[in-house]
Amino acid sequence: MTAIETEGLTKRYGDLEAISDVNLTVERGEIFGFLGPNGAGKSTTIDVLLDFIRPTDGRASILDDDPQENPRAVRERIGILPDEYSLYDRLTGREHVAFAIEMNDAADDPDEILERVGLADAADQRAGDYSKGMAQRLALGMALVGEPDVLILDEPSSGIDPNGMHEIRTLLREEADRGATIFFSSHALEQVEAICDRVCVLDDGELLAVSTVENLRDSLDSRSVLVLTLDADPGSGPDPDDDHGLLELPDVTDVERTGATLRIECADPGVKSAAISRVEDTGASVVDIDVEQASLEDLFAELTTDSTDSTDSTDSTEDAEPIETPGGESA
Amino acid sequence: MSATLQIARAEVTDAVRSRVLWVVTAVLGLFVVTRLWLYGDLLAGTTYPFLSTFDTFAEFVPLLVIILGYRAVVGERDSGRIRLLLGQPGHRRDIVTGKYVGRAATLLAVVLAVALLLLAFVVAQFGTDGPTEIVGGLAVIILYTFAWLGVTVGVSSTFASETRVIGILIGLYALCVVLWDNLVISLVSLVVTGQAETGVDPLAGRFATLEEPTWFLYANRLNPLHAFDGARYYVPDLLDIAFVGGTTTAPHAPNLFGLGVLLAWATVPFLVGYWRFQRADLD
Repeated sequence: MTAIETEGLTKRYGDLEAISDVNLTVERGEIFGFLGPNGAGKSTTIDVLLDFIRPTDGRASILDDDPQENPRAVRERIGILPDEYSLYDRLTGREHVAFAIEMNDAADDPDEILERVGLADAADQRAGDYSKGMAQRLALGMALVGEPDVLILDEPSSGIDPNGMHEIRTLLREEADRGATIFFSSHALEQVEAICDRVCVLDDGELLAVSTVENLRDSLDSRSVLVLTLDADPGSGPDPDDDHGLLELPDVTDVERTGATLRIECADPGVKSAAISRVEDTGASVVDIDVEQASLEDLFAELTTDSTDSTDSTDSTEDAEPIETPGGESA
Repeated sequence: MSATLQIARAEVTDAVRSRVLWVVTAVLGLFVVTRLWLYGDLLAGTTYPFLSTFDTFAEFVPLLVIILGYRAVVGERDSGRIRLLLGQPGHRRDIVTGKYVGRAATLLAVVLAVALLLLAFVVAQFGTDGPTEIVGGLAVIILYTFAWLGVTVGVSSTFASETRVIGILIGLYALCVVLWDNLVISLVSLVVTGQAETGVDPLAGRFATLEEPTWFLYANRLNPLHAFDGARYYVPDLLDIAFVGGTTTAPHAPNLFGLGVLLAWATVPFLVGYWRFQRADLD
């Protein structure tokens, strides 16, 4: 039995395709990260899983039940922290959890749940007076009621400080140890990498990759950029495209020169020292070394543009940078 | 307890703590009593002083129901609370029925509280109506409240936009209260008699004395305000006939039609909204 499965899942709004042909399998007991930039279609996918919206094409199942045909059976076995929700402003935290307990016909103790999500002190406060982070904790608490087999969390980190996020990760690990499957959506790799077994990347409604966190992190690391500042601006010079022979090195994928600054994209971090020696061999002296870590957005861009045109994104940055940097840095 | 009742209970708990509810109830109570004090003389000579005060309810029940009810379902969609509710075990229908039951309980409590307050003042000043007038009158007020509640929750479940919901409900209220006699009745008259001018005193319809043309007795009762107006005298008469062997001067057919209209307003828009909501994308 799979925890979550989608086959050819597609949702169109008129001409706009929010998600297209998403095929996803999450096994039971997994902690699965659902990654993608804002607007990629993560919430649309989750909304279909929860039967908030109906797919145009394809199907989804949770624990082998179709949420559209059998919503109650599905909702009895899952816990949801939705993306955009609101609480009963005039009910207290404890009343919210008690409501969830009665809806689930569960035997949980409201105070124990509130303790777990760190709201024990605010149990009798009205939810309308809660901060965003407290509301998020309360909604998570309501999701935990009834020991669900699958927990679906849509951007759980929003509104929660890093410290709180650490607590929540601990909580999710406890849930996973109990045997729960956790499906965790986020736009930031840092949020999911500390906890997830596998991740998938969704961009512009399409599923780009399913992989382990290590593989994803490796491909991010391998896309690091070495930024060297030389002692003098070689000017537009005899050869503005002079790459100091760097492109001859294996694993150097691109070189951009902007005034006295060289940006060297490395496919393997190990090539950096060789790149520096190569530049110094050409007679230039390096006065500053910096390494830019590629962000998840770069990876999204990379994964997306791989299939189409990979030069588009780099062109635009080249156009922008010469205007900004040379004057200030070489003076 | 079923999901519907759980949601209804949360709804009522939330509403009871709402300042809006208490302010609206107080304003309505104050209005009813003030009006009684201002126009009380007119009631002094009437046979049924309590039933005679019902004009207040005709216009104010719909306002009350619309103000306190229009967000019932669309508000849940707009705020996103529906995601919290649908994250719990239950069906979509539990949302609509839970909201309906919750709002019905709240609104009936307010309307009945105001009605009983009014009754107490009337009894103190002008003496009492008969028991069938009081019971029948209260029953008609309850039916009338349900008629507007059905429309309000129905429209609220049908559309995704709060603005559209409030626009439709205000438009409907304006049609029934302001435009009815001059627009709807005139149009029907034009179709039936060829003349826009009916020559009927709009107030006469409530008594249904058979002096009015038949089409008017029916057309006028399509408006819940007028159906309510007729029913407040007709239902006590029915109770009289059933329990104490009285008679009625009102013709049965148009008045039964009027009761049917109130039942239709209470149920049809609600069922349409329920049906639409089951099929909607909630995003």
